[in-house]
Amino acid sequence: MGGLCVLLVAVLTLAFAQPGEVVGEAAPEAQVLDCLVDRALPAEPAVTADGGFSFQFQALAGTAVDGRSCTVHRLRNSPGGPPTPVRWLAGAELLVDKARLGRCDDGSCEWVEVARYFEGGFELSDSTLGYGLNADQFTSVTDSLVAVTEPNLGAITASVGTEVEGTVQLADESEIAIAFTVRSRLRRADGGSLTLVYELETATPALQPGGRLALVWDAITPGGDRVLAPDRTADRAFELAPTFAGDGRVELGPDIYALELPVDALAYDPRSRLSVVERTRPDAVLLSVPMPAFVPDR
Amino acid sequence: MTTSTRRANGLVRLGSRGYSLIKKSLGLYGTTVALVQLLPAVVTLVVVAFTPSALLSPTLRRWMLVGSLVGTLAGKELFAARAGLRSFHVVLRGGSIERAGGLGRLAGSALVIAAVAFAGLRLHLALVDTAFIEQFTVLTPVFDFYLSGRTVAGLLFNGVAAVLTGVMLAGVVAGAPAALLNRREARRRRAREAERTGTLGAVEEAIAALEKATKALERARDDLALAAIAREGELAREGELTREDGLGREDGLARDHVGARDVAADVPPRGRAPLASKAKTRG
Repeated sequence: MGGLCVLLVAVLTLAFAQPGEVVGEAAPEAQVLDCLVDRALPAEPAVTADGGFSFQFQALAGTAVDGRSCTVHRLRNSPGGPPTPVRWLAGAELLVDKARLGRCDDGSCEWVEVARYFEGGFELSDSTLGYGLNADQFTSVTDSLVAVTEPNLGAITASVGTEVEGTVQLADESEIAIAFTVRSRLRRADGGSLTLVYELETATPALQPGGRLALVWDAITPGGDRVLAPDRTADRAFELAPTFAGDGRVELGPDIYALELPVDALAYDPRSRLSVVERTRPDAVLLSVPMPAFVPDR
Repeated sequence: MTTSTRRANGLVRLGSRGYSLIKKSLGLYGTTVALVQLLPAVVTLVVVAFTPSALLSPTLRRWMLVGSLVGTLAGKELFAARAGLRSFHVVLRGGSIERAGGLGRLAGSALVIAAVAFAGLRLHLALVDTAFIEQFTVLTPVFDFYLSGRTVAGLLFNGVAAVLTGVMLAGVVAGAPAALLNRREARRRRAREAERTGTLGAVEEAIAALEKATKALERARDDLALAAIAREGELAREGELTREDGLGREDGLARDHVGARDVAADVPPRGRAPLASKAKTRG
């Protein structure tokens, strides 16, 4: 009798499980970007489909190669599916916005992946996938893994970063594959002096000096009306908001563009966003992802 | 006109009326059947027309709400201007506002524009419908553009939808009351015209009514004359039969020997059947 009850409960659990919902712990997957995945939600990429749109999604979490925590949110169009704008939110927290999943054939559908590296952990949370017209024509509610960042602001060093890999479509309808990592770091010297470092690492020519793309990071450009990108004419990695102007020092390395900014005190902004834009159209966002930052406490 | 000719005319008239009734009832029936058959298609079209999947987008609905508010205000403003609502003081002083022509034009043009805007809006909303695009693949580049996720594409799609919604509502808000007001004005104009013609108009109406009554009385007189003639004919036939019956009684049994067939041959065709019947009864 007891066995029958257990069987009944198991059958009901499976019957009422949402498509793509995790049942139990996922088997560790191979590394995705710099994240060594030990949890996936759903265990296998789930498909959401409505109104003729159809695409796959999955949230991953684990440990980054440098030992911090990491999450990855990824999206991929289904073969033959129409172009699909997607916005992925977990409550008020942005996971991915303005992702545009282009048409693809079987075998050519690539993931749009957004990885976050941080000190802290992650938690299970309801999330909403909005897609179609205005990225809110259809919605799909699903569980997801959400980063809980807890940087130690009193430590000698701390870092938070976001890595993006995917494709964006420009105004002239040309598509560009992008891959970059943006980091916000703090460094505390022996004497206690603080330095904030904003860093972009990319091998994508479009994001390098003279390229067509740029980044807008609203943590250091209040209002988001300034373009942040390696500048072709000026010898600096980012063009900053007026509050930062003249304070920074530029360090350039191979495919790394960074700005060091000495500050007296700092704060942590966990809600800031990073957007990919065309340099000639900085207001037209091509992709938007979360990118927390250490900022001067003024 | 002989009795048989009049009877024939009556039959033709009756047949004609019957045919008209049948035709009318069949027409009504045919229309009803056609409408019933078309009903599912009409319902489907209405559903498709008023519930496009694009309206599931809250962002689009907000844009269209703004468009509808602006359009409603614009329509009200347009109607107020053409209807002379700002000239109430003229009316209050006992004057009148010349607005019939303007209202007629406004009603016609605004309602046509509203209909065109509705059709355009419906087509516009269909441009982001995957099922529609699968049927009209030539529009795929438009679909891809609007769903590119780019800011400009979203602004353009939402903006066009808002403008079309605004134009449609402006047309309805201005055109529908203008049409109603125009109709009322026309009725009043006719009443004023009748009032202007005065006693002469009333006399003309009385003459027309009298003519109608005369015709009706003439028809009634003809019908009565026909009925009287028919009655006379029937009485004559009955008298003839009575006379024949009396002669038969005088002849007695001798007539039975002559044979019923010979007697029947002598009487007119109309009297043959009853006489034969009587002969059989007696035999």
